[in-house]
Amino acid sequence: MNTWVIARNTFGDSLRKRVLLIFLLLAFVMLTLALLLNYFTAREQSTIFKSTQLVIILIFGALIAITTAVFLIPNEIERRTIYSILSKPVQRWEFFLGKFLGGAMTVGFMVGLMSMALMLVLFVLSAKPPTSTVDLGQAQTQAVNIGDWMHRAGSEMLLVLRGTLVIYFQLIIVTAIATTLSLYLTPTVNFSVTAFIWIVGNLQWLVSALANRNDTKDSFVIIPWIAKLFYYLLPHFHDFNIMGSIVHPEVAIKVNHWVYAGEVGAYGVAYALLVLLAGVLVFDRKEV
Amino acid sequence: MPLAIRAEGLTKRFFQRGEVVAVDHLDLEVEEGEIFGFLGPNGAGKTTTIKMLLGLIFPDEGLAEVLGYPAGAQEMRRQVSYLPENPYFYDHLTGGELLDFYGRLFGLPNADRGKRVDALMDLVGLRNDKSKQLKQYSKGMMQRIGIAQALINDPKVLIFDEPTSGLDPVAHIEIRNLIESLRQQGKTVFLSSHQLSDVELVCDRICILNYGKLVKQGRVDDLISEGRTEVTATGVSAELAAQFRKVATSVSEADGRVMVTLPDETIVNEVIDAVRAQKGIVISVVPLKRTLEEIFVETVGLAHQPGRRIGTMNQLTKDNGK
Repeated sequence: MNTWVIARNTFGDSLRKRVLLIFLLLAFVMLTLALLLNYFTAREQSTIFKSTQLVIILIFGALIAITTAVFLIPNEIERRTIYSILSKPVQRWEFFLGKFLGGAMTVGFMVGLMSMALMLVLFVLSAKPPTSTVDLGQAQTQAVNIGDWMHRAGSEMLLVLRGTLVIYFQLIIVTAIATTLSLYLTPTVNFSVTAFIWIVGNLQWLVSALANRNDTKDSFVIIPWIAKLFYYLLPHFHDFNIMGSIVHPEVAIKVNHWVYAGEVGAYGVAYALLVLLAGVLVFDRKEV
Repeated sequence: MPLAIRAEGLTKRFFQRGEVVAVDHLDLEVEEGEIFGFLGPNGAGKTTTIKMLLGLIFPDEGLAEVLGYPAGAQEMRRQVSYLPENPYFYDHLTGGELLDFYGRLFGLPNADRGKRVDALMDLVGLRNDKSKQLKQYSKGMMQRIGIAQALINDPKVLIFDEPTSGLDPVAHIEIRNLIESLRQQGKTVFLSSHQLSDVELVCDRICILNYGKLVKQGRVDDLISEGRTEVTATGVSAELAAQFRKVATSVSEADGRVMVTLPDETIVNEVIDAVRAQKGIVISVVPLKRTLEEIFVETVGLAHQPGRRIGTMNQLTKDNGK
């Protein structure tokens, strides 16, 4: 109960942070600029447009998640608002999880706004006939068919929804990591460390390759060990990259996309819970 | 009387470029229903002690109990409230929303919470500012809303850290009266303050902390009187005045009157008898009271604390001239 009360308050507090609104504004500017890709052919337009937009949402989502989470608890300590809360019958774990939940809600709200903008654009673009001369005749027929337009727009939006959901699961992990690290690190250092973890997590395929290399010179023998440590310790964000299936939905893959998204989501929640558990244990004995 | 707060050998050390003992084996007992002044210079360990009582930080040695519960226990926090020094609250909330937020943390039901919020806004004189965002509140208003949030759970023990800091004289008196009214309701108030005149007026007992150690404690009335008495008389010979100097704190003469300040009440009668024996006239016998400020300065020994003493402008000029 207290967790929810604190989460709601954190959400309200975070939404008023100017830096987040600036990130959101920048994201919208970038999303709008991506509309310039409208000049490409229909196939390219759809492919490049969707992939660019999802990458924009991912990057700005990560920036928003890290910026929100690194300040969640340090701000409470600095402003001394934490004293008037922890002196009330609020368990420390309730406070910690409430702050995280509030941060996750903020990130969800921001990512939701961005994905809604993307869906709106896709909805409108779905109504336009493709400009490619090859598909022109067919496209004109499609454009007048409202039912077909709705069907295509619906499919596109579902794909975006799935993409942003998976991005959000990734950002939940990022938020959990930054919130937990904020118990030890200053916001600036925490921002750098979490950003590093996010980048490395997205390059786990490269980390895996480094970990399995056997031809490293003696002087670099430590690299495979570090790579192995990163591989087993840091989140596997590259598994969250399902943009390929969103951008190329026509390519048959032997997995159900929604099932895969669910599995990735479950991994995201499990990883975040583990990180939060560590945070709860640390915060329980932290002096404020 | 049952104890509201008890500390025994409470010790807290910090490690910043070496060990600093912030609170050093503090023994403290605060009875239920009393207003207890917790005094000390800056850095004496007052806030550290308060934080230990609330469970915000943990003692290295000793124990602390509030209302019989271990410091920081969940049940203890239900019955205790805290007003931090220079409180800062979520300024995106209105005054009413802030109190509602804290009320929710205590699990107050919706209907009770609404009534309680209104009553407290009335009590601290912010009824007309209930819907105003806290960022529009002045410092004094923030202090008032801070006090209101501390009362949201109708606590048994209130821990106030500088509650009158930054208030104008009228608000100052109002808050002091409010603290007085809390005594009448049977609440225990643990008051950490540098406003010694307030402490003298409202507190039943005080203790003074210096360098983390308890250096003085007692009833305010006892401390400020301490038995000193001033006897004024006429017709006192020079020989008798010289005799008085041997036992008195001070003896002064003006306009044929001799004023003898005696360190305690036990020799007052002897002095009076001696004056009468010389056919002198005793004009007045006045028990002297010291201010809490005098006791504080004397106890803390400001002049003997290198690095803490504030110099004078003359000294600055002299130093610059070197």
